Amino acid sequence: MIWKRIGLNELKLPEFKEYNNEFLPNINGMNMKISKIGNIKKYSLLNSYRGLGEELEKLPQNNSNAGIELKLDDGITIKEPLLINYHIDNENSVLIDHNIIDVGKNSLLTLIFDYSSDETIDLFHNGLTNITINENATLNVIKIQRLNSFSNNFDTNIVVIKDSGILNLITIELGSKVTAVNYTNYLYGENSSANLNSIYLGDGERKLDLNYTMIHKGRRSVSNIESKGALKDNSVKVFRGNLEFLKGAKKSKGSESEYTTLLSPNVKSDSIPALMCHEDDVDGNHAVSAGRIDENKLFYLESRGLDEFSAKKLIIESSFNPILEKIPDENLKKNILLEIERRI
Amino acid sequence: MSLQAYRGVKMEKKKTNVKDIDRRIYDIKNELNYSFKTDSGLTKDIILDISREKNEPEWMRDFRLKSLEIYSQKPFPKWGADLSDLDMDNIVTYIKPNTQMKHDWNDVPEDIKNTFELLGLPQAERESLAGVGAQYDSEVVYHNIRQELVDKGVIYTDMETALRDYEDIVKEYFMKLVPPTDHKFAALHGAVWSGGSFVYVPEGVRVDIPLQSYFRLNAPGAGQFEHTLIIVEKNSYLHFIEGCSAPKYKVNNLHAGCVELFVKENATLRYSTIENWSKNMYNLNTKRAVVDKNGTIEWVSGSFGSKVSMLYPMSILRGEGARSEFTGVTFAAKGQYLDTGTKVVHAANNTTSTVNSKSISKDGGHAFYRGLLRVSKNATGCKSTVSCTSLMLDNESKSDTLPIIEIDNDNIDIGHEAKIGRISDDAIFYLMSRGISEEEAKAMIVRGFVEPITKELPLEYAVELNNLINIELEGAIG
Repeated sequence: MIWKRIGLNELKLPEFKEYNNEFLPNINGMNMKISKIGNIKKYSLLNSYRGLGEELEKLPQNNSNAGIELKLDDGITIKEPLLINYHIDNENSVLIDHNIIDVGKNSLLTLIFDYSSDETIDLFHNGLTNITINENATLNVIKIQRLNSFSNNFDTNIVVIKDSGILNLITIELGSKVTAVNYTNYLYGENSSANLNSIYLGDGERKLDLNYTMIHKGRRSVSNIESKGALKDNSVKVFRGNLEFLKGAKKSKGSESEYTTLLSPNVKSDSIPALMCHEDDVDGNHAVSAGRIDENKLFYLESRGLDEFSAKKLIIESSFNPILEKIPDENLKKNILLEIERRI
Repeated sequence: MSLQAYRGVKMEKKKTNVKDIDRRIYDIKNELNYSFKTDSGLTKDIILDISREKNEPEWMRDFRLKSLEIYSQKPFPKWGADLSDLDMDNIVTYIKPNTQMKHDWNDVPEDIKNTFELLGLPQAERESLAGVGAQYDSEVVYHNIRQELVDKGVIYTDMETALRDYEDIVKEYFMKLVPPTDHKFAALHGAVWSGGSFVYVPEGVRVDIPLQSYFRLNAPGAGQFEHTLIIVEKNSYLHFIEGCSAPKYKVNNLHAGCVELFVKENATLRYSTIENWSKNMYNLNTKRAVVDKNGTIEWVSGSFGSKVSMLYPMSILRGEGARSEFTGVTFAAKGQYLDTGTKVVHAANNTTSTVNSKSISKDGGHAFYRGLLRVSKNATGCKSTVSCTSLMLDNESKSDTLPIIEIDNDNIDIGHEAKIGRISDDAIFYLMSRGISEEEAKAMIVRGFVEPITKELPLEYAVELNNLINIELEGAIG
């Protein structure tokens, strides 16, 4: 199914290669344990969702060539964001990363994953990130994907959030020829919360399949999915937002919204926002809208002397900006802004 | 644990009770009295029997045989409802009641007439309908239409008569919109269809008073496969109402009807359904409309009965400026899995669609909204809004929403929203601040919840619907 919509009929997994680029962040003076992941890590997946299919989800578990294991003890606040930099180049053209992150009780941590590559090589990325957010802990995760236009990118993220834990997640999808990502957030504890902000940009022949899932188990858990994107040229996008309330998730709230701006008559934009509810005392809603840029907005900007192109660009950038503002690394933020500006 | 949460655990909340639909009238069973009945199961011989019994033209017999072939090749759908309990070998596909079709209720056999009297059909005909068709098991037993409509050239008859008297028209349209290759149950329908209504409204005729067909399945372990074909020519208007019910037996019954609607230029067709099958019924119905330039299709759909429903009326907007409107209410109570929704295909420029779906689930019922909205590549300037709201009355029940939106060009304006949950405290607070008691406020909100569909129905049916959903209020909803 997942492959039918983006028209990917078969996928040949590449042969195993070493990945030797440095990706570990600098944690000088910080009170935490971080190491490269060992060869085989048993880490059970959630049974309820098979976002990208067993083959792709098992590969990083059984045969990863990179990844981090991070353990933050209870009660530790790390203010400085950690940058995990996965760069793919000619010598290291296959990246299969498995990351295991455990944030201790009452702790706070910010992680930035930056997936980038050289311009011209054929490359493959398949990642799996398992995150546990313990009681009252907060984790901010920013995932940036800006691989080149020849690459296949697959990424699975599974997060378990315990009582009063908070996840703030930003995903920015800019690159790859084919990209399929799955974020499954399991709001297991009471008062747990998860915010997911996503922005994407499809241009050229790019194909995106974005799957965001929130599963509410704990009472009074709160989730929010907000996705904004723009599609131009011949790009194809599938948005799947799943909001699931399990029995017992009383007083929980979940919302999801998606807005797609369509910039060319050849784009293809599918949206499947599902709402599954097995508990009555909840509040769930979703909204999806798609269309061209509001003519009134355009007219106003053009009346102020902007040409149509710059006006469109300004409107799209302004819808992305509130999310980009949240990137704590100034340098990275500037690079991404430049990239978006260049491509729109 | 906070104090609030502690209270939540300790205090058993009082819940409003929404009563089940009163089924006494619907559950009256008549003795099985037939003149012809096929064996259960599905073979070539059975199909030939049905065709011979009906004295059909050769092309229809061949069509049935071809459909049977397709049926045996098609797999059961792998999504949606669990159909493993549906044993096709035990379904009797054709039962001819022991009577000919009549045009006067007094000529209809007593037991059948009584059934329809209890369902209120003859009375409704006298008071508010321009024409009525009544089908009992596999054949139409009563058909009548007001003379003034006949004079205007309106045809309203059963499908068998249509096939005999208007063979050319039937041959041109029959299962062209829903071909037997569409899915397994469309193929089944093509093979064993029987009964149903045929309506033809000529150019420029406005039928102000609705026509109604009522489908009643009396025999246990049987299937009903009626075919409805409606053609509304240019600049015409028609409101057609369809009602369905059956008494409950221990064995499963199957309903696999097919509705094909052709709405021509500038014409409007309103198609209302109040479906109240018994809870041993598999309702696997296919409904489809194709709308030409500036035409309008309006679906009003109330799904209350059946054990399993998979029903997605589809509108194909193929003419410029065509419009579709879908209003649906689904009420899933104990033991029911109602998988309903609608499909809209925008295949021409400047077409518009509106979808408004409501569902209520209680006592372990499972309401599932499944929808498709597709905008083809060359259909620019299309507008669509889809809104789905679900109300859950307890946490034994389930309520799911799965709308699929596929857009293949950039010149469109699409909005979709869905909400799930219970009645908002804010709404109750507001009404109470206006001097309305809490109970009344809640009752108002629940009534208001289903109001979009009740207001779309003729008055008598709206009252009936309100009676169907009898709300007893105590404490909170949810």
